[in-house]
Amino acid sequence: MTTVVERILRRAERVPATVAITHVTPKGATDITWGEFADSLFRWGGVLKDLEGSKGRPVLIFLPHSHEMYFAYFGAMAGGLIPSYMPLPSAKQEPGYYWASHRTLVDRIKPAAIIAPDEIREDMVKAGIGIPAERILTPGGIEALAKPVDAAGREAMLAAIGPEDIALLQHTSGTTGLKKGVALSHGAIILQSEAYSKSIDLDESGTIVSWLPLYHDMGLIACLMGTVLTGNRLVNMDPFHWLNRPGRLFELAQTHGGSHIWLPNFAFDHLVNTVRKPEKFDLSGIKAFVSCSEVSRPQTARRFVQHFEPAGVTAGQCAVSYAMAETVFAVTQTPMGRPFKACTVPMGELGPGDRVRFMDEGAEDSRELMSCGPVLPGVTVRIVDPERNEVEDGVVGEVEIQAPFLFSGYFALPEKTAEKLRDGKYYSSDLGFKHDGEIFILGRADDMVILNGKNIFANEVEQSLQQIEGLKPGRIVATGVDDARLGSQRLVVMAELKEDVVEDRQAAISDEVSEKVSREFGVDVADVWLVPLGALHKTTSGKISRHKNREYYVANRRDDEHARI
Amino acid sequence: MSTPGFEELQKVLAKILDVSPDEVKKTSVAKDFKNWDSISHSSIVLDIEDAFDVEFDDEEIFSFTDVGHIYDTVMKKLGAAG
Repeated sequence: MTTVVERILRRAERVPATVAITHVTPKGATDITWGEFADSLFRWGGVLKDLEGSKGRPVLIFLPHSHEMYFAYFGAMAGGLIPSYMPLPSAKQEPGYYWASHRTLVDRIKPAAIIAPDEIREDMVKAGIGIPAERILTPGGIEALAKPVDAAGREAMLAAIGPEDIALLQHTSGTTGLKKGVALSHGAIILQSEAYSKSIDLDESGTIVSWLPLYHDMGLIACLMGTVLTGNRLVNMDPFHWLNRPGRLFELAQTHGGSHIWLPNFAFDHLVNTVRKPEKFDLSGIKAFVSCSEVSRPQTARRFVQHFEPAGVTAGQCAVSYAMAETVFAVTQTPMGRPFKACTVPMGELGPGDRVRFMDEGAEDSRELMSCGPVLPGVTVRIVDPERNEVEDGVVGEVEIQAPFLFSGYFALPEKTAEKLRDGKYYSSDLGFKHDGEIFILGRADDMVILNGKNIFANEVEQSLQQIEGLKPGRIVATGVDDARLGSQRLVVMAELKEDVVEDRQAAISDEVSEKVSREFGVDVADVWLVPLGALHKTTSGKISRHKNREYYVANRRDDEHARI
Repeated sequence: MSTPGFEELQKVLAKILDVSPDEVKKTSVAKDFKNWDSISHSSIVLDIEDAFDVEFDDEEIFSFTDVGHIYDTVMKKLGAAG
C-alpha cells in the first residue's frame, strides 16, 4: 500500500512533461505538468514540515483559485501535515465576523498553520482567528523560503508518512464553529479510488473537466483526487467563473477532450437554463455526466438530455453516484452507458418504516425517484430501522454503510465519531430504500437542507434566529422546499411573531432574518413567512414539527405573497 | 430623466429580477434585489448581451455588481462598435 503523495511522485518520474492540471481562469488557461506539480509540492512541503510541532497537525487552506492551492494542499500532505481546503467568505458575508467565527474551530483542531493570501491574512489577524499571526502563512512567504527538494529528500519525506496516516480533512458545511473535519487516511482514499474508477471507466487516458470547489468532496475527491490517483488530466475552472459563464465548461470539455464531468443536480438545470445554443457543442465524447451530492431528479436528467440532444447528449451518458465524505466519496454508481433509471411512487413524503408503493410511470398524483445504482464492489449497504435492524427491500430506512474505505473519524471529536461510526459501520442519516438491487435515496433523516449543493443544518439556522426582536423564541422553523426549475431546494423560514409586534415592524423583521442567515451561513433565504403566535404545527409532544410545517407551507403559501418560491 | 439605452437596460433587468423598471436605478446594486444572486447572475448577463447584441469578457462579468457599471460597460461596447 502506498500514499497519495507517492502516487504523484511516481507519476511525475514516469511522465514529467505530461500535463496533470489545466488551470482555467477568466484570463485564460495554464498547464501544470506532473514534473512541475511534484517539484512544487515538495518545495512547499519542505517549508511546512520544518514548522515546529507541525507533524500530524491540520493546515487550513484559504486560497482562491490559483496554482498555489494545489501546491499548498499536496505540499502539506508531503510534509506530514493534514491539509483542509476551506471556503472563503461570500460577497454577502462580513469578513471580520466570518474570520472571528472560525475561532471555535481553530481552538478545537489546533492547526499548525493557516495558508491565506496577503489581503485575507490581514483581516484574519485583525478579527482574531485564534492562531498566532506568524503561523498565518502567505503563498509569497512560503515561496520565499522554499528550496528544491532532491530525489533523496523526496524519498525521506515519503518514508515519514504511511497509508494509515491521516491524509486530509474534509470539513462539513454549516455554522463554522460546528464544522466537523472528516479525517481520511491515505489508504482509504486510494482504496476508494481504485473501486470507483473501475465503475466509471476512468483511467489515465481520461480528462476530468470541473468547476467544483475543492472544499467540497465532489471537487476534491472525484475530480482532483480522480486525476492525482488515476494519473489522468484535470481541467479545472474557478467555481465563480463557471456560475457566470456555465457554457465555458462544455467549451473546455470539447477543446480538451473531456471524458468525465461531475455535477450536482442544480448544475444540470443551470446549464439547461443558460446554454442557449446547445448545437454549437459536440458532447458525444463525454463518457459520463455524473450527478451527485444532491438528490438527483429524473425530470432534471430528462430536461438535460432533451436540451443537449443537438450536442449529441444521450440518456446513457447521465450517470448517478451516491457519495459522502465519510466514505471518501461514492458508494454506489449506475452502470456506465445505461440510461438513467427511475421509479414512480405516490406523491407525498416517505418516512422511516414506510413501504414504497410502486406505480406506473405517469400515474396521477405520482412522483419519480432516481436510482443511484448498485453499490461498488466490496461495499455493503443495509437499510435499517431505528434499532439498526435491516428492513426488507422497498421499505424506507436509514442507509448504513460498511466499506474498506471508511473515514478514520471526525477530527478531535471522539463523541461525534462514536455516534456515526460503530463496529466498522457508518450511519449516514440519509433515508433511502433498496429496489431491484439498486439504491434509491430520498433525502435526510436529520435536518440538513441542500441548497445548490451546499449543506445547511436547519436547526443551526433556527438557533441563530432565536434572539431576533419580535420573534417568539422556539417558534421558528427553517426548512428546504423543492424548486423544480432550479433543480434544488430553496431555504424558507417560518416564524411566529410575538403578540405585541405591530404590522409596520414586520418587513424589518423579515429583512433582519434574511441578513442574519446570509451573513452567518452564506446562503439566501428565499422566503420569510411571519405567522401569528400559535400558528406553527407541533408534534404530539408539543415540539415544532419541521416536516408538518413544510407541508403546510407548500400547500398554503400563495405565490403573490412572496418573491421567489 | 432618460439616458440613451438605459430604459432598455431597465426593462431587461426588471423582467429577470421581477420588479418594475423604475425600481432599477443606476445606483442600484445586486444586493438591492432578492432575485439577483450568484445563480441568476449568468442569466442576467446573457439577457443583456442578447438585448444589446454585445459580448462581455469573462473578467468583466465579475465586476458587474451595480447597474451603473453595467450600463457604462454596455455603452462603451456599443460606442466602440459604432
